[in-house]
Amino acid sequence: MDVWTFTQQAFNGLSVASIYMLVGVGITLVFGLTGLVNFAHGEVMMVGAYTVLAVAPRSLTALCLAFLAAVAVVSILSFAMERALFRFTINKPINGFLISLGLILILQNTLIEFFSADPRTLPPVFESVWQIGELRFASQRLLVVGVTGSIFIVLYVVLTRTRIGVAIRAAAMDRETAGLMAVPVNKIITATFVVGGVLAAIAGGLLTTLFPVSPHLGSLLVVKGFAVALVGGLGNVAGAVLAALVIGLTEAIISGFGYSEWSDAAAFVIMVLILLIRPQGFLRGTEVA
Amino acid sequence: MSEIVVSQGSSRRIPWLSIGFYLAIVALGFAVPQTLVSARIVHLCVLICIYGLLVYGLGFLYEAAGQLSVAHGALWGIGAYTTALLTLNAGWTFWICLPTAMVTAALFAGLLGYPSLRVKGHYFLIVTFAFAEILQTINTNWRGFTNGDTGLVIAVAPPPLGPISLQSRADWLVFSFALLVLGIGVLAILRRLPFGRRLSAIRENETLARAAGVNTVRDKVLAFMISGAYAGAAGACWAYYQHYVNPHQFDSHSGIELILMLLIGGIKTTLGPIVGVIVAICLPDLFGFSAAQNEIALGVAFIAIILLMPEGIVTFAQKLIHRLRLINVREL
Repeated sequence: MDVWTFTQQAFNGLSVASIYMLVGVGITLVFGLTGLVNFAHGEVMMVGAYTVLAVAPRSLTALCLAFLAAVAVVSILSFAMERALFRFTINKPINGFLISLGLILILQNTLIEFFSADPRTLPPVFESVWQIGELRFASQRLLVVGVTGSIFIVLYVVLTRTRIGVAIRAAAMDRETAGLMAVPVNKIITATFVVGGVLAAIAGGLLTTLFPVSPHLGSLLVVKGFAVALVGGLGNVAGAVLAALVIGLTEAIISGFGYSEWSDAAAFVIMVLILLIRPQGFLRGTEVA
Repeated sequence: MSEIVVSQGSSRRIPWLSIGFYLAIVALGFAVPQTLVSARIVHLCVLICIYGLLVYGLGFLYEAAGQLSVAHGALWGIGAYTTALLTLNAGWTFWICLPTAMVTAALFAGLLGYPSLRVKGHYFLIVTFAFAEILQTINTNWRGFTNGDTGLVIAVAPPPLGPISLQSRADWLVFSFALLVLGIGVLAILRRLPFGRRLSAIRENETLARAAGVNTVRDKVLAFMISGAYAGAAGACWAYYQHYVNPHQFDSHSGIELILMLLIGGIKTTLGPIVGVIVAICLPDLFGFSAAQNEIALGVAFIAIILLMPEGIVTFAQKLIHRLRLINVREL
C-alpha cells in the first residue's frame, strides 16, 4: 500500500470514524450519567436515518431541513423513552438494559413494517469530488467530517463552558452530591438522553449519505458505538472521540489491504484487547474497573 | 407468611406435592407423542424443548451467577455450525457431533468470558452483544467455510444409537424432552453443589465473595461455559432437526429473544423459563401476526412485564393465586 492509498483510506476512515464518534459519545454520555447500557441507541439512530430518507432531499436546503426533521423526531422519541420508561429503572440499570432490548424489537420492526427490510440509498446531494494529486475527496464525505467536527466543537464548549455542561459532568461524577448542590438531576438526565438522541439522529442522517441503510444496520452500529465508548473508557467523552478515530482508521486500513469483509471484526478485537490490557479504557471512564 | 418461609427454606420435609407436580408434567411430556396430536403441535413442542434447553442454560447464568449474556444466540449458532460442518466435511454422526458441539460452544464461551468477566461492571453485556453481531458478519462473509447467506443443508438423519432412533418428529420430541429434563436436573444439582453456592455468593455480593476466598473470575467463567455447553447441545439438535443452518438464525436478535423468553416467565421458579418459551413460541400461531408484528408485540409485552411485574408472569401468578387463597402454590 503506497502513501496515496494510505492517505485515501485514512480519509475514508475519518468519515466512518465521525459516525462512530457521534454514536459512541451519545452512548458514553448516557452511560456516564445513568449507568444504563442502552442497546436501543442504534435503533434510535436508524429512526433518524429513515426520517432523512423519507424526506429524500435533493438540494442542500432540503438536506438541512431533512436533518432538522430527523433531529426533531428523535428528540421527541428520546424524551418519551426517558420519561415513560427509563425514568422508572434509574435505580436498577439492569432493568433499563432489558427495556432497551424490548425497544430494539419494537423500533426495528416498526421500521421494517413501514419501510421494508431492503437496503435503501439516498440519491447523492453533492456529486462533486475534489482531487489533490491522486487523492479524491468526495464532497459527501467532507460534509460528514465537517458536520461532525462542528458538532464536537459545540459539544466541547457546552460541556466545559456552560452551566448545564458543568451540571451534566457533576451529575455524572456523583448524582447524589450533585443533587445536593442544587443540580436538577432529573432534568439533566432527560436533557442528556435528548442530546444523545440528537447526536444519534445526526449520525443516522450522515450515514445515509455514505452507505445504503437497512433497519438491521442499527445493531451493528450500536456495537461499534459501544466499542468506541468502552475502548475510550465508559463515560469519558474525550476518550470516546479518540477511540472512534482509532477504530475507524483501523477498519479503513484493513479494508485498504483488501479485507473489507473482515473490517467489522476490528472493533471487536480492539475491544477485547483493551479489556485484557487496560480495562479502564484509553482515558479513565466513570466506571473504574 | 413467616410459616411459609420456614417450611420452604429450612425444614427437611420432603415436598411431595412439588415432586408429584413435576412428575406429572414429565409424564405428560412423554405422553404427548403417543397421542394423536397434529404434526404441527409436535413440531412446536420440539421447538419448545430446544429453546427450553437454551433458555435454562441462560437462566443458570443469570439466576446462579447474576450475569446476562446476549451471546447465547451466537453460541447456539456455534453449536449448530460445528455440527453442520463436521457432518458435511468430516462425515461425523449426530452422536459424536452433539458432545463436540457442546465442548466447542463452551470453549468459545470461555474465550469470550475470560476477558470480560475479569473486570467488574457492564463489560460482559457489551462484549457478548458485540460477539453476537460480529459472529454473524463472519458467518455471512466467510463464504468458503460457512457458505455465507446460503447456509448449510444437512440431509442425513442421525443413525440409531441403541434403542434411540431419531427418524420421525415424535422421536425427536421424546429425545429433546428427555434432554431438557436431564438438563434441568443437572442444573438443579449444580446449584446445590459447593460450586453453585459460590455462584450465589458472587451474585449477592461479589466483593464479599472474593474476600471470602472465592475465585470469582474462574467460577463466573465456568458458569458461562456450562451455559454455553447447553447452547451447543441445542445447536446440534437444531442443525439435525431443522436440516438447515444459516447465519441469520443466530444473530444478536436471537440472543435478545432468549433473554425475553427467560424473563417473561421469570427466573425465580423452575417452571418460569419454559412458560416464557411457550408464550413466545405459541403466541404468533394464535394471533397470526406477521414476523415483524409479532416481534413488536413481544417487545411491548416484555417491557410491560419488566416495568409492572419484574419477577415474571409465573411468580406473579403464584402471588395472585396465593392472595386469592386457592392453594398453597408456594410449595411448588
